[in-house]
Amino acid sequence: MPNTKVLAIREEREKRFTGAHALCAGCGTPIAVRAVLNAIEEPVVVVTATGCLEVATTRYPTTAWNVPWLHVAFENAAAVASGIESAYRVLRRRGVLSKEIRFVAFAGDGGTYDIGLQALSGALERGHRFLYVCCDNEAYMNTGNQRSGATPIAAQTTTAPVGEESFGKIQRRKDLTEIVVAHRIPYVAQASIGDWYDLASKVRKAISQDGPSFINVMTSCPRGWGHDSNQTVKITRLAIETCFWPLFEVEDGRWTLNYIPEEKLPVEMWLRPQKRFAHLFEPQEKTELLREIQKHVDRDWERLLQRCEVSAGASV
Amino acid sequence: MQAYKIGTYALLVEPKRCKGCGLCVYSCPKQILFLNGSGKIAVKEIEPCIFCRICEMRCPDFAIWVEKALTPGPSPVMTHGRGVA
Ligand code: SF4
Ligand code: SF4
Repeated sequence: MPNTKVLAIREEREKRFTGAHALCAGCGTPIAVRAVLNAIEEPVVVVTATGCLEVATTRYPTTAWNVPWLHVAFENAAAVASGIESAYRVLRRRGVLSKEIRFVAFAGDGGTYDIGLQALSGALERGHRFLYVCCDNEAYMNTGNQRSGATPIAAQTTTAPVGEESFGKIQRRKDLTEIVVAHRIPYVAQASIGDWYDLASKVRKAISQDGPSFINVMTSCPRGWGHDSNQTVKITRLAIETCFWPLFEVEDGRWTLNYIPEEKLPVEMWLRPQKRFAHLFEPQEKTELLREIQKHVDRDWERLLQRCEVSAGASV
Repeated sequence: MQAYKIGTYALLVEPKRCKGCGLCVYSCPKQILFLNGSGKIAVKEIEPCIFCRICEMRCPDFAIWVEKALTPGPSPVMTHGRGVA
């Protein structure tokens, strides 16, 4: 089972990702990358979209990657992975290659929810065998916190500022995981660095599919979200416990909920420790808006519960 | 790089790589880690360490890790070529 020790031992055998990077103190992304790469047994080829991860891990002349790695542009990580996978299939058919190789694309929320969505959709529809991991830190953090399609409502960003007339981002985030489910690919999941075991188990399932798989991983950005760097994991855990970021998977259309909190915490507990939501509590509490956000979370959670139940019923 | 050994296991820290985020300090179930005066990783006492490797897998910067020590005793251990300073 992929617990911490198993992941660490895997890393001892082969260090796929190293510390030669310039990601910020307490960044959640390398935690996700390590867990993902250590959960895969087979040799891997990694593709990254433009983003914090790509920029900070490949400062010329150094690299943090100890596996074959390719980056082309912001919008086409999925297309690049498709190309590599197709070439691999041809080489195997011709008998040039016999090794089992896995392909993983890492991209941020900007490179997935917005800029890379079309390439992702195409690759999923064509059915390439690869795993796409979205490291979702809910804004364009590499360029200093601009709103993205993943930024939640009311979060402050440089392009969704807070003022007398505005309360940060006014739109709700889009549900990318659901968009990916609509592609009817073999495996889709939502995970978080707040639950390792769950993330690593999902990677193992995803990588064994004979087709595209997708995992949306919540990774926090201490600078953009505005919390202490030692709270990175705790804050993503709170997103799980408040049901803001539920952990679930969809295998061949069957929805399964992976974690139900014993006591569903109010979403306020996730919002309050983050400075990007500070205006919701100071100078006075925006109770109306907070209630609205809680309502969104409750409704989404109810819908998810229903989906998982319906699927469970259907599969019996 | 410093090595702290108990029996056949060692906890290794490389302050040069540490960015002082405090994630390991916060996550250690035995609360044996701290950030020193210059904000770098340090070990309070090694005895309670259960070598769970939570600090290792949470560190974004590969500055703390556990190794199976090749030789018992007080001298620093180094295997895998990891983090040779
Ligand atoms: S191995 Fe576990 S107990 Fe030892 S320092 Fe790391 S987190 Fe603490
Ligand atoms: S997690 Fe790593 S970088 Fe952060 S304080 Fe600990 S050793 Fe330093």
